[in-house]
Parts: sequence; C-alpha cells; structure tokens
Amino acid sequence: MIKCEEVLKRLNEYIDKELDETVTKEIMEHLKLCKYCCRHHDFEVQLKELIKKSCFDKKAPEILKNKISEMLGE
Amino acid sequence: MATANTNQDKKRKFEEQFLPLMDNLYNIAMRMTRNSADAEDLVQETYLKAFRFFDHFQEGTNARAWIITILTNTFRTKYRKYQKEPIQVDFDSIENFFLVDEIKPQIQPANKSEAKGSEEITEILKAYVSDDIIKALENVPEQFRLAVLLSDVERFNYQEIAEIIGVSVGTVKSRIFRGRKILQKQLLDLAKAKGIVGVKK
Repeated sequence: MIKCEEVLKRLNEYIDKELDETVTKEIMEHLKLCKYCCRHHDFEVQLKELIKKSCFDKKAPEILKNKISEMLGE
Repeated sequence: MATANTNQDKKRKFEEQFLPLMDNLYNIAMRMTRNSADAEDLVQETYLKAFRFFDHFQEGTNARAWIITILTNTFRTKYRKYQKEPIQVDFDSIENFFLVDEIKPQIQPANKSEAKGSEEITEILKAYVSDDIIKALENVPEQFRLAVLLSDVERFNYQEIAEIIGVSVGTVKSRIFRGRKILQKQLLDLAKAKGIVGVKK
C-alpha cells in the first residue's frame, strides 16, 4: 500500500485531479483507511475552497465597466 | 457601410464573449497588483489589447484562458517592479510544513470521538476571515501567487496554467506546491500574531 509520506507529497495533485487513474485510486483507498492523511486531505480541500471564496469577492467597479465600454465604442 | 457593420459585429462578438469575464479579471488583477487603482488600469489595458488582437482569437477555444493570458503578460511587462521583490523562501523548511499540524480549533468538540474530521477542520478554518486569506496570499511571491490563483480561484488545470504563464507543467506543479506551502506559513504567522487560533506548541 502507498505510504502516508507519498500520499501527503501528492495531495496537491490529487486534489487538483492531476494524477493518473492508478495513483488516484491508490490514494483514494489510502484515505479511506488513514485518519491522519484524511485530515490533511480535508484541510487542503477546505482551504482551496476558502481561497476561492475569499479571492473572488469583488465585482469590477462600475466606473471601470464604463471606461471599457467607452474605449470599445471609439 | 459594410465595413461599419463588420466593425459593429466584431465589437458585439467581443463584448458578448469577454465582458462577462470582467469580474474574474478584476479579482486576479486585485490580487496581483494589490491595489485597486493599478488593478483597474491592468484590466483596462487587458481589454484594450484583447480587442486589438481579437482577430487572433480562435472561435471556440477557451475565451477565459485567452484573456487571462493577456492579463498575465500585461502584468509582467507593466509591473516589472513587482517581479523584483526578493524571494526569500527557505524551500527546505516548507517541504514538510502542514498548517493543519500546527493549529488546533478554538472550540474543541464536546465529544471528541463523535466529532467528524471535516467538522473539526471547518472549525479550524473559521478562525480566518477573507481578509486574512487575502493578506496571506498577497505575501506570497508573485510567481507562486499567480499559479495558486489560477488553480484555486480560476480552477484551470495544470496544462492550461502552463500555457497561460508560458512555463512547463512541471514548473506549474512545483509553483502550486510551493505557493500553497508559503501561503500556509503566512497563515500560521498571522494566527500567531493575532492569536486567532490555538497554536500547538
């Protein structure tokens, strides 16, 4: 079975769905059984969500929208 | 008259495809320039360039990736000063750093054995408000910050990010890995400074 150390090293790629099917399955099985790695996994997933939520919080200002519309109109 | 119509068509097509992406661009620009005046300039210049090069855009390809590539390139040429920020990161010390190992939730679940793992994590992360995350991310050196943003916020895959930034997939992988580690280090420092989470000894 794949070791914790290896799982943690590849957690980013696992969460980003960048690993091939075989490794993905191996990690998935490991996570089912290993509380330690599972905790790390949950943390990374939730942090990724939190980053998205925190960083995509603003609407482009109206003044900017107007400027761009004007610019395209010329 | 025909030319005028064609121009109108072009403008309409451009607006339909790209104006709905302005919030995406603005948020990336805000995170990269770290202030609203520069962010607005950057977005405006991006649209100007995109419109100029619209003939080069291949219909049916990813419009969001295309215009974000322009924004990234514009940022790099226009704000060279940002690139000069020294990158003082001891990569050896972050290789095995996990924020989750360093902090504990403020409120311990009443019954530990019943507490679900993911709920405990939610409790830990509750300590951080949006501004904390943004502040921590803005302290991550530019090249790592961009890779993390494109993955976490824009949800591009590594291949797409590689094309946008103009580096190899391996480089993207390493920048995302390191970027997230640096971010977590920043979040730990923030937690310590604010005393917002129970920091383990």
